[in-house]
Amino acid sequence: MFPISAALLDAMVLALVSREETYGYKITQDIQTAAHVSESTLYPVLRRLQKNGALETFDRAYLGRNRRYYRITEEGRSMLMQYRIDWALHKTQVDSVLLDAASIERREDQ
Amino acid sequence: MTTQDFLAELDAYLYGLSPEERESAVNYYREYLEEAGGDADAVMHSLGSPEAVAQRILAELGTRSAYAGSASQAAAASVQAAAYTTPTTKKPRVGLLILLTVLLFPFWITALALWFGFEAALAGTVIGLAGTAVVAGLESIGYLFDVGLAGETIWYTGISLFALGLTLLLWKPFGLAIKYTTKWTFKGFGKIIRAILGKERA
Repeated sequence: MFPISAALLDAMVLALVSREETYGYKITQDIQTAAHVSESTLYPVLRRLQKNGALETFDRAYLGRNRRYYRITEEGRSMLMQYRIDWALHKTQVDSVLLDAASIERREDQ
Repeated sequence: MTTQDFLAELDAYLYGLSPEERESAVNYYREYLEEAGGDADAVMHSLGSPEAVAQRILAELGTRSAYAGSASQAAAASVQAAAYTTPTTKKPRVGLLILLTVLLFPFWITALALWFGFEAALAGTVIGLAGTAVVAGLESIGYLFDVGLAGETIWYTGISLFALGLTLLLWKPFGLAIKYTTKWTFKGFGKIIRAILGKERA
């Protein structure tokens, strides 16, 4: 219902990768539990974050084939921190209108 | 459509990107379909056509011209462009190349001369040794008929065999050295020219 912006998707991917070293298929599955994004959305996002230096990759053998894992970098962590601050701010502003009618009345009183 | 067909088509639709980018994308989706295991067909279906998957990649990583196709993609592109710096295609800077070629003449001609000198030294050594082997060999045969198995004959035979040994020892490593230094030199010049022209290697 609410579209996920490019920035929000970046933030969510960074958050997932910061929790554990993980791989493309799993990241897609995990994002899809929270947001309706198509399966082909994630690769370009991962690749760009990797090119920006927010993520790095390494390969690990799994069941006789290769699995490319993503790991967050220091730069990625500081990006994530900034995204979390921005999101908290954004969420508070939306909530103040959407959920808390009293805050609107208070604003009108001032 | 098999997964192999899917990946091959995806690769074909990514022709605007560098080989490295194409490989990265195709490897990602190969791995992705492998992860899906028995559900690979269903996952392939939900991914959409290889063309659609490629369009998403081109919109995000490719050049502007790559996704000038549809209105929705253009809209997505403008959103992306606002949030991120998107690589743009530039006109090749031919003028700059000509200017630098003229101005930097002393530098690149020196580099070229160094390269030529190096190759010539290597080639010259091997050719010289081979020549010595042949001439000294003929000389020793001549002395054999002239004076029999005397000191001169043995002397020239020794020189000939020594030169022949060195030739056989050196022609292969020297040949390889010539091959690779030539390759590197021309690759290096190619890279510099591409960099000056500002050709995008996204």
